[in-house]
Amino acid sequence: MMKYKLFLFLIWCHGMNGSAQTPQELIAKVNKNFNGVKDYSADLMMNFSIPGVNIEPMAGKVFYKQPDKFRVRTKGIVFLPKQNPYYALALLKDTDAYTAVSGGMEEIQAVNCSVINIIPSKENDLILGKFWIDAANGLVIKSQLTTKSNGTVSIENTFGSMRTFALPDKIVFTIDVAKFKVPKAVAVDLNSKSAPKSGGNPKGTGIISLQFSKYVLNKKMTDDVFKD
Amino acid sequence: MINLIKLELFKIVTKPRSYLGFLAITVVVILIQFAFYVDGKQYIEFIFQALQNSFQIEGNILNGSLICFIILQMLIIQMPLLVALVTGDLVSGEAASGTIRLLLSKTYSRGQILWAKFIAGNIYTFALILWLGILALGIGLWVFGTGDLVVLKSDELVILRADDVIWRFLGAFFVAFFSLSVITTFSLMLSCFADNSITPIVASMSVIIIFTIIGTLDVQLFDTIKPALFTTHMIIWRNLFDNPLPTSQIVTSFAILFGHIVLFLSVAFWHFKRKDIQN
Amino acid sequence: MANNSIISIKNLNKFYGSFHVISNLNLEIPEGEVFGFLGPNGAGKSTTLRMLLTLIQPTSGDIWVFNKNLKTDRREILQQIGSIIEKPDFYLYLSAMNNLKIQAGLSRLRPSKSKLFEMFELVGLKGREQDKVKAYSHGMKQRLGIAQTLIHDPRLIILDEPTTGLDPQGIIDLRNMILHLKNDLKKTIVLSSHILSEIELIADSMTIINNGKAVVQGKVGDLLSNEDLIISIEPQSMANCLSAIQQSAWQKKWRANNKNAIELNLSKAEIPELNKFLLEHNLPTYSVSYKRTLEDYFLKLTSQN
Repeated sequence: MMKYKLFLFLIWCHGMNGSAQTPQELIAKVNKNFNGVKDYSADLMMNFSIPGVNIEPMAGKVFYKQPDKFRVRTKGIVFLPKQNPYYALALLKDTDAYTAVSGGMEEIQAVNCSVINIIPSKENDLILGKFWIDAANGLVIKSQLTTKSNGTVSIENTFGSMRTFALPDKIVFTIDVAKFKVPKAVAVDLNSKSAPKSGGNPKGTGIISLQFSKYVLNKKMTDDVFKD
Repeated sequence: MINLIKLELFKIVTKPRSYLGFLAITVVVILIQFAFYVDGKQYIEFIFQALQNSFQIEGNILNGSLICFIILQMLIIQMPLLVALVTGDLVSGEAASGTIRLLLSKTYSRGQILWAKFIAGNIYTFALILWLGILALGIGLWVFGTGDLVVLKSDELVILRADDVIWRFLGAFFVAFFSLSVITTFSLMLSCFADNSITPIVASMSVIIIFTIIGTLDVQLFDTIKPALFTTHMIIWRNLFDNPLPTSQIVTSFAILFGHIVLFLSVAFWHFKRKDIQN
Repeated sequence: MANNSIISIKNLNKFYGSFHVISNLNLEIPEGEVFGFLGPNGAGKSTTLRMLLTLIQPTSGDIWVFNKNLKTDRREILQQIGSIIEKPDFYLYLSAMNNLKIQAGLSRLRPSKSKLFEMFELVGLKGREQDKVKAYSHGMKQRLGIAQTLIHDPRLIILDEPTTGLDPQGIIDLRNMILHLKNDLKKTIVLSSHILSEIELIADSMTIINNGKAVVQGKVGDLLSNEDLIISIEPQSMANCLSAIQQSAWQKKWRANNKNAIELNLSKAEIPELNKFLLEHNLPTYSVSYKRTLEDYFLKLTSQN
């Protein structure tokens, strides 16, 4: 019932939208750009801002292979989102699995984006997806996924020199974080007078920023690099 | 003077009691390492279960650095006892056995003798810390591997990068040695007042336990005296694992600990030089 | 300071609170002798000897040893003193050899192995060098103590109650050792003991202190020669002799008797008178002998004070 009401609401929103392209056309454009890269590797710089966690930036390497194999390799401990950034794009590929509804226009990163809402048609972990698409270039500037298992995850892409390949220079994840406390039995009190370094975000929100550089594309990557 | 220090060290090295500390450290460290080798994964999952709901945590958390940090945490109460067991006996043990008469009726002055005992006691303390470092860090890294260190503070996790960890450990061991040097000096001071071995050892431990309890109680009445207690500053080694490094706090604690060493040593010298050997 | 005095103590005082332990003690100890240092329990003997060894600090007064002031020349003085205070002290968990090495080290010496073995041979502990001292008997410990005292070849040896716990043979051995040290090695020995007979046997000079003060000082022979003797009569008939003495003026001189002998306190000059009395009263005797004991002298002096 809830889905039906949502569907009607979205239809109404679409009616308010003056965009020239339909959601399906936009998605097809995104998918076309997305399919241009079979695999890539790149250097990665990760920054973290997670409540309850004081963690320095970390350099690493990232590997990607179609459709949704994504692996970050670092020397140290990193906190990564449970979904990889291509989960959303992989969702878009299977056009039969969802209904796309236009959600109007919204400006993000000084780009006028078409908002597309995705409602899964089959039983799925995904409850709702929302995409802000740069219609002119077929790039997903931002996505917001609400899943049963992981709550709401927001992914914002910043494109630079690799925009023609739909590869971002930067991806920022914003994740709902459950309240975390170190069990008293194992906690150590450092007697520190300074306030915890972590935090500064809205309560219960963690931010992970991935900065990409030195992309190497389509080198026919094997699956070994994605194994543990 | 070098000769006297060598004699004092010889006496420490040949006393069976001196090896209790090394044995205790060996047993505790190996037990902890073994426990984590067998059950460490469950321990990590227990700590990180809330975060793992929201994130995928990559990297080797259960590594030698974490194990070493946990070992240092656990041994923090035991180490002063192991030190006091030997250093509390340096003067009073001689008084109990009568060899103090031998010592003080020779050509070395009382001041020289006490300096030699102080230095020898600190060398022993350093050896204990070195042994702890070899076992906890050396063997820990060999068995569990290297990696970032996760510091489990009560209000947050601090993750220190692997290349940022070793110098912190070295600093922590040095600071721990300096802190235990306060115990060495304190128990040596008590040893100057006693004529038996047990009293200074028990007294040292009692003082440490009482001060530690006062330091942990969240009572306003004690807030004024806490900064003056040496036990408050003895755990300053932990601050080397904070980020950013609370430099001024570390320096302040160092200065207070140094002040305690000077105070205890002064009292020891004052009494020892004037003490009449009647037994 | 007297010319041949190895130790000179001037106006020495020691207070513990208001308790005056040593009271204006003045003492001259000649060099090259065995000096007996006597006094009842609590008289201040041990305190005085400990002050000599800087184990106790005087409240006031001066101590001169080898013509040097102990306050200013402590190191040079103690380098030449060996001592045993109450009992020899060892690190029981170490071997006898290591104990001796430590003693040498404390005297800033590094004797050769042969010298060390020589010491063990001197005190009759050859072959027991590597045994832990805790396995030593009391007598062996005493001998090791002597070795410790001599390892740095001191000029002056201070022995405080060295016969404590020794059996008769041990006492004899120690006596012979002391005489050897004095006569052959030309050491000066200051000896404090409760076994007064031992002091009388080996001491050349002595002092008796009581309540922290020197009561008397001098050559042992000279001090005792002025004192009454103890005359022991061994009569043929105890009953007759005892009855005759008790009915005469000699009764005042009576000291004690047992079933075999009667003792009288007499000066040497009175002995012929006694002999005459015995003859006149037809009291044959097996023997009339005299002895003079330091014990009696000591008790007499200390009870007077």
